[in-house]
Amino acid sequence: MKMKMVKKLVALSLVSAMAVSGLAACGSSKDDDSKSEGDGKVLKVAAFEGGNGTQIWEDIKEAFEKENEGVTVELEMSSELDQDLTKEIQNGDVPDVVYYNLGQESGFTETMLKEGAIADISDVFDDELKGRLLDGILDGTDAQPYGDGKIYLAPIFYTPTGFWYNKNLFEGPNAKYTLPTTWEEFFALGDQAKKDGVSLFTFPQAGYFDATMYTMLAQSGGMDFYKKALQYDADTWTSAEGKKVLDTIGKLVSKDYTQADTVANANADGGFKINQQNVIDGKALFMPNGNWVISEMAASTPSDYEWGMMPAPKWDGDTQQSVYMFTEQMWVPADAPNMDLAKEFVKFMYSDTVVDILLANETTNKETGETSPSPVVAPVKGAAEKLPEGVSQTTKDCYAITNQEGVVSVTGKWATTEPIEGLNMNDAVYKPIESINTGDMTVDDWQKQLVETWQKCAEAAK
Amino acid sequence: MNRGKSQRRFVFACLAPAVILVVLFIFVPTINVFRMSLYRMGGITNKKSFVGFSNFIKLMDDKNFLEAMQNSIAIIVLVTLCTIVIAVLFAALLSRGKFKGKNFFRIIFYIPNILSIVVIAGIFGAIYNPSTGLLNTFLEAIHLDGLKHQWMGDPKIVLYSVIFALVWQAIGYYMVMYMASMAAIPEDLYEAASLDGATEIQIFFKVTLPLIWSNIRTTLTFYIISTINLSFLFVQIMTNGGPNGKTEVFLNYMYKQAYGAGVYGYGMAIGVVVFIFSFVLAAIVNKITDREVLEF
Amino acid sequence: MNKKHKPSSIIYKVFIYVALIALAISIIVPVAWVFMASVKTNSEFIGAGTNPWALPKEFHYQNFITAFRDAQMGEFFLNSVIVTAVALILLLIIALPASYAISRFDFKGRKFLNAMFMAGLFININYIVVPIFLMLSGANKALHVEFFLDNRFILSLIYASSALPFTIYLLSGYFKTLPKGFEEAAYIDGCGHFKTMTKIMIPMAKPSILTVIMFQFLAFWNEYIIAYTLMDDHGTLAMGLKNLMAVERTATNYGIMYAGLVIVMIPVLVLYICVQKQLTQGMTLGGLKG
Repeated sequence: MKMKMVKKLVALSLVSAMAVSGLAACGSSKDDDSKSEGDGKVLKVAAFEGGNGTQIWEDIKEAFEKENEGVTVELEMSSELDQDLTKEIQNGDVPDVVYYNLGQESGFTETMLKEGAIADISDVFDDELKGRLLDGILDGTDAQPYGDGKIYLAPIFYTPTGFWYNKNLFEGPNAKYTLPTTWEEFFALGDQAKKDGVSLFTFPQAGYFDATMYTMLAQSGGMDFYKKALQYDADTWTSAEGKKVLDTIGKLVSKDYTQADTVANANADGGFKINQQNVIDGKALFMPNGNWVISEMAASTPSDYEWGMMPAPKWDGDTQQSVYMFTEQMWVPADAPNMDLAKEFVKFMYSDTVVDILLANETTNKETGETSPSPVVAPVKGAAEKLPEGVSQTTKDCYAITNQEGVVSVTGKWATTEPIEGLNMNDAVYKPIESINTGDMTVDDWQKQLVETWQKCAEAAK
Repeated sequence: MNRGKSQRRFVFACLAPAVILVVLFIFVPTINVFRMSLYRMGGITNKKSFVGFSNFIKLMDDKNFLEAMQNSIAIIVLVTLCTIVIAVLFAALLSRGKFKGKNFFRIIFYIPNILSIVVIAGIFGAIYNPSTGLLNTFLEAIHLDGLKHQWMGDPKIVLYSVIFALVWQAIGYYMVMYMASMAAIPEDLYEAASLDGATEIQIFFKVTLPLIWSNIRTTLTFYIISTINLSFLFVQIMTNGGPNGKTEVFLNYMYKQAYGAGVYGYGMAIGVVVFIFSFVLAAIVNKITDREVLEF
Repeated sequence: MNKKHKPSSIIYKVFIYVALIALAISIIVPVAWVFMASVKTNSEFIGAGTNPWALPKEFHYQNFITAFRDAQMGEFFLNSVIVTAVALILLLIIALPASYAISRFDFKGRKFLNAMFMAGLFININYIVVPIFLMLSGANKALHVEFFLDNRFILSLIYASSALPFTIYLLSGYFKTLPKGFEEAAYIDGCGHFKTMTKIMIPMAKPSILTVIMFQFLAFWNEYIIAYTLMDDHGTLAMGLKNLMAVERTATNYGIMYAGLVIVMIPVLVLYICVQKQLTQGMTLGGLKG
């Protein structure tokens, strides 16, 4: 028993040494290696069960097992993965690979980062792999959370985000409005819509402002300003650029423009869907969201309805247009028992096999049993162009936006700091938006709170 | 002498299992909570370093905690007052009043208490929903649109929405408890009072209320303990503290800090404060409600 | 008995009825609504023009099948029955002698133990559940076993322990009200302490015991935070429901969600209707005089 273990360890360290020095490039020898390494190995993969369904992970598991003979992938899927994993990790039962992205309400991945419990996986991204991935996708704080040049989080899915709307209201025979491109036009549209009894805006939950704020910061102050803001630059919110973002959001979420039920729904359990439904039902025109909303709402979307997405508006005189790329991350716990195999798995997520599995994904309506395409796109060059037949034009357009002239892709998240007592980043940054809506807070109060928060974070930044 | 020894043995045998279990599963974990509140540690990996009372000092400046504290106190006070008044009144009606359907009402009123919190939260989600909720659509149907509100969104109302749910589920339990102690009041006391020409209302204040006072006092402690607990379970499912902390209660905040912010020790410090707070509050309430007990 | 009818008594009566009926409606309507909603299809919940008061278009009983299957209700139901029953038995076996001893005997340290049990009332199980989990997981590691977690017996034991302070408080309150004469008579008849307790004192406490059983049955049956933390494969019904709620809410299958609520509600409602008389009687005699 012990002997076998030692042997395995030796084999493992050999493989990793080879992988790092790039010797594993030769296909056949690599196969042999993973065979000897994989004998009887169990790789525990924990995946968040969200809108994409579970089939996708079953397929990836199968493909990975096929490619690595002798390896068994043990899948753990849960819609409350954060709670399940907290328990398991406390109990010393650490999974090898975890798919749970940043920015979730629970903040589980952020907490793991704060506790230093996620492994550095920079060596997975060799030059060959880097070359195949979308430019810049690994440079942001959502891959390098500490901003130290080391990659801890592997962006496995991505989707451009922006404001989502009912396309039929802006295009085609029944078009009622023209699509705005600047904030001025946007608010003018809001005044026009109000006369029709429709609200300009709603948001599923305050947390959905993350992408909007990132986009607006980059739009307002440019990339350098944006990157400094992510690292808690003290002038972020007092600068003219930062204040402009806050003022615009303040106006946007005021009772004048935001649908009245928004805040009430945002806090009720599951209520974010009601807010999303309000866009479908025509009670509000726009909401910040991502591509997943299509399949998330599929069950209650009329068949003639068509989604549209546009980037958050720009300000008058801006020449470029920022679009935020939302990425979902996979990571390896620092205490993962099969570290090397886990890294193999992360790398496998970018293989052609998986890219195709992701694109072919479908979701099933539990009640009717109908399936609808629900493609997931890996941040691999060319993946978005391979979107299969049957996928809505919206999805294709949404990914195509990033290739347009004058469009700048923005990635990143607020940098990870040491834990701070009494501070929950999501609550501190986005929740005041609810209070601005209800009139409990002014934009100035929000600015003050953000300045304080940035000060605390800057002190605690690694 | 021998008898004394065997009695000691008997008492020991009777109490030992209970003491062991209470110590093992209640006191040891509580001591651990106290101990962990002195550390800076993560909730998942449990890496820790000793920081003394620093967590408690930070707590005093944490305005989110102070808001949660404020909300919790408001909830405890209002839920207790509303529930006592309604439960005592209805208990008096159902045990003294003479009308049909007493049994029916008694059975119905107890139902909320037997339901799981998850079920109750589900029910109130359906009631308070702004546009398709039972409450707002009902108000619309009877043309009282002016009374429609954002029950879960308006910061001035949302706390009361939660309080209503808590009172709704507590009334039956306490009502049955007060009915029990009212049933123990000898009938001749009532007869004597009504022979003196006292009205039902006078009887209630002069006879019923004083005689069940000690029972009400006991339940005050229950209110404190159970409201702290239930307000957490309700808030966790119904609002998760929103909008922007307007319904945050301290145990929910403790959970968020311990698991959502990576500061487990800090969360435990909140737990310690809540424990001490509830203990002291119960002692104070016990002291100020202390008056001469009327025996019957 | 007051048999006189005063002139104001009609208004008084109307007022009483209005108050009683209002509260009764506020309870019956939402509960009945959940039953109705549980057989609706999803399209009757979402979208423009849906009315929550509308009757179901069809009897969509499939919701129940899906809920039952997805939440593993069958297996969880059995687990809930086992855990609740074992916890109740443990609780009574441990709490009865303890309450008896602490209320009927004078011994050194009685005051201290009394204070200890009282203090236990103030300890909220919600913040000690994680330390309990860590303790059990530590025991597993120390002994190299997988015994202490996901174990129905351990869960029952912890339920019983968590209920001990309140139960001892309640039962000893009752034992205190009994006259001293009972035991004296028993001793004279030659009964030992143990026999006196089991044959004479405990049978007299039957109403209180019934109260304890009813209260704690509900508490154990509906509990999910401890169960969620300590259990895995051997989950309980309340846990199954919590999971179901989480899954169906993200998937917006409202009908299935409400069906789950109904499945969990029914056994408790049926049991309650069967024993409601004993329950309120138990409380009457239960010596809750504080």
